[in-house]
This record gives sequence, C-alpha cells and structure tokens, in this order.
Amino acid sequence: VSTVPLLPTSKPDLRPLIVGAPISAGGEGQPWNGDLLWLMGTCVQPVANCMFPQLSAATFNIRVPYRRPPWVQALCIEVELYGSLAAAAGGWAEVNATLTGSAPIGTTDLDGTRKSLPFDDARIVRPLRGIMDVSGVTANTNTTLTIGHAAFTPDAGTLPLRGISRVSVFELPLGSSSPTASADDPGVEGSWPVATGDARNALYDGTATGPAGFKRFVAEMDRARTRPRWSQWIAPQEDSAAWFTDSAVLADLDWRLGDGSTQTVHLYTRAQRLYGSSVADPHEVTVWYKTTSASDDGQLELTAASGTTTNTVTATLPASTTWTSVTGTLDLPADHTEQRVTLTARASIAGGEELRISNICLRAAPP
Amino acid sequence: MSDLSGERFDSDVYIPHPPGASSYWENGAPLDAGAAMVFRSNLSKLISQSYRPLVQTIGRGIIRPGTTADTWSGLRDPDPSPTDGSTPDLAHQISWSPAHAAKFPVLLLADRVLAGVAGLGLRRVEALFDHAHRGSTHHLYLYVALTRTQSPPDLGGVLAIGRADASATGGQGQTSITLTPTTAVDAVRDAIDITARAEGGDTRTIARAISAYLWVGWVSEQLNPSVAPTDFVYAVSAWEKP
Repeated sequence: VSTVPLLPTSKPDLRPLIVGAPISAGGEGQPWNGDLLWLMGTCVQPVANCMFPQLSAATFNIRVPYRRPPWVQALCIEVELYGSLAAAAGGWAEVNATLTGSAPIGTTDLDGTRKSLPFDDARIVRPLRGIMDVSGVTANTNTTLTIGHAAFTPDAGTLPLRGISRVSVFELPLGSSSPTASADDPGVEGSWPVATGDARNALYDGTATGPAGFKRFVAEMDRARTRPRWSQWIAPQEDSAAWFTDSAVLADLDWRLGDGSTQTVHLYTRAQRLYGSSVADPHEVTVWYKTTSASDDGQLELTAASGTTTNTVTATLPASTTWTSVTGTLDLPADHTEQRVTLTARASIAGGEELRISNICLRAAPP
Repeated sequence: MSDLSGERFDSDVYIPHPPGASSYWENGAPLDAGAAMVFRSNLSKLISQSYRPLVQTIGRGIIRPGTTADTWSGLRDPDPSPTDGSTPDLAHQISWSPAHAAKFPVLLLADRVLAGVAGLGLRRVEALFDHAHRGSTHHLYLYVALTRTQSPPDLGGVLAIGRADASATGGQGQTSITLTPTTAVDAVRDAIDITARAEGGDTRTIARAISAYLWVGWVSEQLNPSVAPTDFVYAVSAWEKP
C-alpha cells in the first residue's frame, strides 16, 4: 500500500541516466510511482462548477455528464439553494442526487428529504452536500449524474426566487493506493520495486495488469495521460431556464441572461498541450436538449478558437420533445498563449419551433 | 509549468511509446536507461500540463443596480465605512451577497515555488469574465477571491483577492483577473481531512486536501434604479494558471 503524496516527488533531472545501463528499482521506480499517484490520486478533477439564473419551476432536473476513471472512488456534490423570504416561515425544498451504481457515504443532504431554504440574500449559505461512493459506477463509460429539485413550498405567500442556484461536482483525492488489492488503484504496489536476487536492484518488467513491474509503469502513464478532464456549462432542464433558439438559421442562443436579446457568449477553457502547439486537444462533446417539435431537427454549431486556429463542428440534434442527449467530438486548438480556448455556440431549428439546450459538456479524450 | 515538474527533452512533448501490454517490452529484461529517460520526461510533461479548469458557468446575467437606500444590496459595501475618505480594501468593497457574488468549492494544489519564501505557494488562478457594460458615467468592477472557508472574503480567510475595472471596454467585453497567492502553504499541515473512499458500512478512509472556495463578485456603480439595467455578467470561467 502506498500513501498518495500531496506533491510531485521526483523533479527529475535526465542527465544522471546513462543510456545502455539497467535502471535501479529504488532510485527510479519509487519517484515515478509517487508522481503517478500524485497525477491520479491528488490532482483530481473538478467535474462541474455552475451557477444558474433565478428559477420559477418547482420540479426540474440538472444533468451532469460524467465518465469515471477506474481509480476514482468518491465524488463530492454541493448544491446551493436560492434564499427565500419564506425561509423563516418554514419554506423547504427536496433535492436528490442519483448516479447509477453509486451510494452515499455516510449521511447526505441530497437524499430527497425536506431541507430548509436559506434566508433571502444571506451571505453565508450552507450548501447541501453529499459524498457518493462511485466505486460501483461502471468505469470508462459515459454516465449521467442527475440532481433533482423535486418539490418546493414557499409557505409565506410571497414570490421568492426558488430552485437551485449552484451545482458543484468534483472528484475526491485518494489517501492511499493498493494495486495488489485492486488493479484499478493507480501506480504500482508500494512494496515493489525490489528485484529479488538481482545484485544491481534492476527495474524488471512484470506485467501491464499486475501490481508491479515497469510494464505497469507504462500502462499507468497512459492512464494518467488519457484521464478525463471536464469543461461543462449547464442549465436546468426546465423550459423557462434552459438556453434556447427559435431561429431557422444558425444564430446565437438566448442564454436567459436578462439582456433582452441574444448574445455571442464567450465560453472559456484551457486545452492541454501534450504534443506541441500544432496538435489539438481532442474532446468528446455531450449536448442535452429538447425540441418543441416532434419532427423538426435542431442544429448546433460549436466553434473553438485559440491563437490562429479555429475548429468548428456542427451537429444535428434529432427532434425530441423530451430531454435527450447527443455526443460528438471537437478538437480544442492548443496554440494560444497558455492554451486558452474560446468557445462560441450557435443553433437553429426550422418551422418556428424552439430548440432548448441544457448542457454543453466537453470531456478531454486524448489519443 | 508546475515548478516541480522537472526536466524534459528539448522537444517538450509527450513521447509516444508502446502500451504496457505490448510485446515490445521484452520479457525478463531490466529496463534500460534510454527508456527510463523517456519515462522521466513524459512524467514531467504530464505534471507540467496538469493545470485544471475549475469553474465554468453561464451567468449571472443582470447585475442589479444599487440603490442609495440599501447599501448592502448594491454598491460599495460601507463596512468599514471609509469616513476618512480612504478606499476600503478589496475584501470590503462589496457585500458578497448572492446578488453580487457566487462561490464555488475547489481543491487546491500547492506546487509553486515562492521567491524568497520557504515552503510552496498555491497555484495561480485566472478568472475570465464575459460581460457587458453600457454607459460612460459609471463603473463596473469585477472581483475574484480565494478563501479557506465558505465565509465571504470580508470575514477573513482570504488566500488571494483581485479586482478589475471592466468599464473601459464599452459594450460587451472580456476581463481577466489573475490571483497569485503569496502565502506559503504546507501541503500536509494546511490540508483538511476529506473522505477518500467507502470501506463498508459507516467506515471510510480519508485523504488530505487543501479545500477552498473561489469567489467571483461584481458591482455596478449605476446608481439610478429607474434606469434599465446596463451591466451584465454573461459567463465566468476560471482555471489554474502556470
């Protein structure tokens, strides 16, 4: 069993390595293991951190696409409710979080039971919080975390803001790792590497799936390199809160920002640059949407601009009067200073219908 | 670059290699130093590229105009009241109430070398606002802060705070604020216990993490409540910055 370090361990210098000589197990293997554990067990990823405009519906869902790396064991979910003038009169809401294969660890605020609303405009709002054991969630498979606002009572007869004001989802770090107990755990077994019987303490091969050996190192480097990273923008799946268009030609969405018109909203993220500035950072895109028409398809165009490179992808969103999702791909250019990427979106639907969009989710999918 | 990432080959790319299960890796032989150099360089590359998106959100939308009757739902927070004509420090300039700010939980990493200070610093954080400001007679100010707890920045625990005047852009614009925490953080002693995994029943294992909240805030100095809203925050993104 290895303790997952809070800092990278090796800060290696390449010069001491003499090409052609065998590598020392202790001198190289242990620091590499520490770096892999840090990359996968400490440098964990935020999944979503979104706030929402004021809502009016009592019942709606918020969908958070997620794909679990095999070693991630727990997710933390925080939900903040809008404050209400009805709080002092017993106003409450019911909020739950569901993800197939998961279970709460200990008590959770997100179990669908009544929770008191915070006071209107309070500065210190205690979020509803739950930690979910996701070890039973199928790994390396696209899933959806659903946060449901199931009921609401404002009691006092006022017209409060109501609903969820913020959702945050993030992976939790690992305290320790034991590849012997579970091949999903990151790194190599802590008691290794020791090459029994080898006077030079050389680093031997082992197997890619076993808990030890440099083949395991190679496999772990690949897992660390290809882990999902998330950039997602979310709106509640509620007709008056989701972004929408009724334009027959590709046009800016109405983002429900109260500005009286549509805007070209700029969504920013950061690409990873593993192979130089000319090689893009490929992402999988998931879009949740619905249409008011059962027959007219929608269109969504996403543009990723960075430096001198612009990549655009257009997807058809098949007509659906219930919330559904499609998945495609988009390459984020990596040639801008510090790899900043600007995303813009346009959409359309024919026949005077409405296309409503609740999620634009990007997940890094490195080759 | 992470200050702790180490040396890489001049090409500074992740060097492709056969998968771990490949027969390329000869059975029964120790690893040679040439391959080890590739391993070292690649691990350094992965660490150097480990900067994470932290917040991506649409909104807040309309920034409520302030009113002179309600100083806590609008303009500059009078706490403490600058009766001597001075300007309050950044943490005390706005109320950080839900109408004027939002907070997001983040788990921070401390791997930045601080000049002249023992210990390590937290990663820098950049926040980028997409916003609109219409009018030439008032200011739109944007704020970003990192706090150790969920209490607002004016109540203490501020790790870093910054402000930008977004008035100069006119119409729609983008404003960036970078936070550079200067306090040394002991990644072990300053961490809190956090659940790492379930171990059956009520048992759980714990890990250590530097838990914090990232605050974004805004204030419009459009004082006239009868004027149609002139200032908007369309979107906010934040990420760790090399």
